[in-house]
Amino acid sequence: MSRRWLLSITIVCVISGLFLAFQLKVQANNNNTNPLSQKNTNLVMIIKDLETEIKTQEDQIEKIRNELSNLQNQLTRGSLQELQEQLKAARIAAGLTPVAGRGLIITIDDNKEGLKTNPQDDPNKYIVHFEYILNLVSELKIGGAEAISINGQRLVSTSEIRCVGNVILVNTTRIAPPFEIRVIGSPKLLAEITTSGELDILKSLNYPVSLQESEEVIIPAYKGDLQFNYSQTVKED
Amino acid sequence: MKIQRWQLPMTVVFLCVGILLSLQFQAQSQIVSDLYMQRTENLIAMIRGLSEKRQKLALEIYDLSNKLSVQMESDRDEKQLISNLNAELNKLNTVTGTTALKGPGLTITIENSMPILYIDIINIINELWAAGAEAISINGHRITFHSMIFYTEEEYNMSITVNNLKLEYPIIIRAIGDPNNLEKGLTIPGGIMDNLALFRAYPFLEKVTSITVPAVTEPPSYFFLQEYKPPEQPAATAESQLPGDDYPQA
Amino acid sequence: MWLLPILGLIIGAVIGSAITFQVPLIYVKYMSIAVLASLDSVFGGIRAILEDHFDGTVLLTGFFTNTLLAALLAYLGDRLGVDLYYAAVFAFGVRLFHNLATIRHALLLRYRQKKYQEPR
Repeated sequence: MSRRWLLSITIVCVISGLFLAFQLKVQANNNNTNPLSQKNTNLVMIIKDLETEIKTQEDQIEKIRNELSNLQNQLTRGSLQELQEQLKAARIAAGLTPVAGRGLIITIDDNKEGLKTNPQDDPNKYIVHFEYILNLVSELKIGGAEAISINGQRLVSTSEIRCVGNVILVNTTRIAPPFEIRVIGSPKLLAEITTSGELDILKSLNYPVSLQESEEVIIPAYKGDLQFNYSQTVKED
Repeated sequence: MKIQRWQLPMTVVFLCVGILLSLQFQAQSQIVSDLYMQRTENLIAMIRGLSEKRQKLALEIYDLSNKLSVQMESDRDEKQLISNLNAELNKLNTVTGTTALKGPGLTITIENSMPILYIDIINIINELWAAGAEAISINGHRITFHSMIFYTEEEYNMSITVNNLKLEYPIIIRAIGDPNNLEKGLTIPGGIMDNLALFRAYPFLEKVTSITVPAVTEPPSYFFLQEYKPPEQPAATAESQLPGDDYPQA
Repeated sequence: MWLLPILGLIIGAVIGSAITFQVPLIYVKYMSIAVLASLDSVFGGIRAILEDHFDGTVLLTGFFTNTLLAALLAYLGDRLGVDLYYAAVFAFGVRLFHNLATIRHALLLRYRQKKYQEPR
């Protein structure tokens, strides 16, 4: 009796076991715990990608905005203006702008009269040499001249006065007599120094000399070049 | 109070239920917000929204990038402008002597024994400028347009002065420039060195690879001088009428 | 007299919220069926109390085995491709409602008895 019962039960179990194993094998490939999740997984992946991308974009936007605001804050408005003002003052001090003020206008000329009356004489005695002008300018500086021009050539720190043959050059520009020397400064002091100095010497050599005080002497700007290839600023600590 | 027999097991059970319930609630609240559990149409709507946002952000980035490059250019221009202005300022400072400078050049040493007058110093300086000197100093005094070279007499002792300060011997003139040109300028036949030699004065010249020339100690102040602004000309004659335009040319 | 169990419930809830262990989302479904099974045991126990045939051992063993078995069954069903999950939901759900109804009856009966026994 128990055997009959046992047999049918065993058969049922074996078949169930077969079914079970088969089903498990099939289902092992289909990992569907959730019928919706297959499609959703892809969508979720897309969403996650979009979100990462958007995050990168937002970071980039922040970076660019920061850069922009940094640049805009750096706008050195203040120092630019300061620089321009310094530059303006330096230009005036260096002689690059026309200037005006009280001063003298001195005119010296070759001794044409003398040469005419003594044609055989050494012409050097009758022409203005560059040394006369150099000495005159030196005296004017001692007298506190604030600006000097000779026949329109503005004298600056680097200006030189020399001659090539009988031609006088100032700022490497030929100038010819009569020489008009304009100077801005104390008219009295300048007149005093030069009259008792170089002008006296010139007069004694019969050169025509004239001196005129003026309320407004206009002196033009220096138009030459300023090339500095050898000097460098010393960085002060 | 007497604990009835049913209360203990019940309590245990309730405890476990409590734990389970709260765990479940926690998990559930997570599920609600978890992406995987959302309905497909909701996910699609989210994707659409995110795509739109991404597009807008891309546009914004494009805009901002443009603004940035425009800004950087103008900034570069401004930096360029500032550097240009600074270069010009440096150049002018070289002329006005407000900055110390260094560079190659020439030194001229004059001893007490040499018969040299202030006029000779003026000539030497003038020749140095003519030879291309960029900056000159005498015994530490920077020589500019305003420098006064003169002399003073004290008990039969004559001293050369620069800006009213006596010069001590040896007088050393330092000039920055091309050392060769500077030397040539002074030593040309018939030039200043020859003239001084006539009086038995032999200043010592030395070409140097690096000299320092100091800045002026006091910048000049102007009491008479003012910037001149030419008055407005009528449109017909636009040329400036400054002196210097009509001097006879040699 | 219900104070102690309710206190146990509250303590359990507190412990549960303090536990930071996150159930992996994939198993959440099984967790929910386990909760349903445990609730069914609880109400079964309450009914037993009201009908005076409460057995602590029955309650405890039933609670744990039902909870575990329910989760296991749902999992097995997923592996087999048969939604046994829903069978469990149905089974426990029906029993739950049945228990709740019986509890309601018993409470009403008690209430009426008390009222009847009050001195006039």
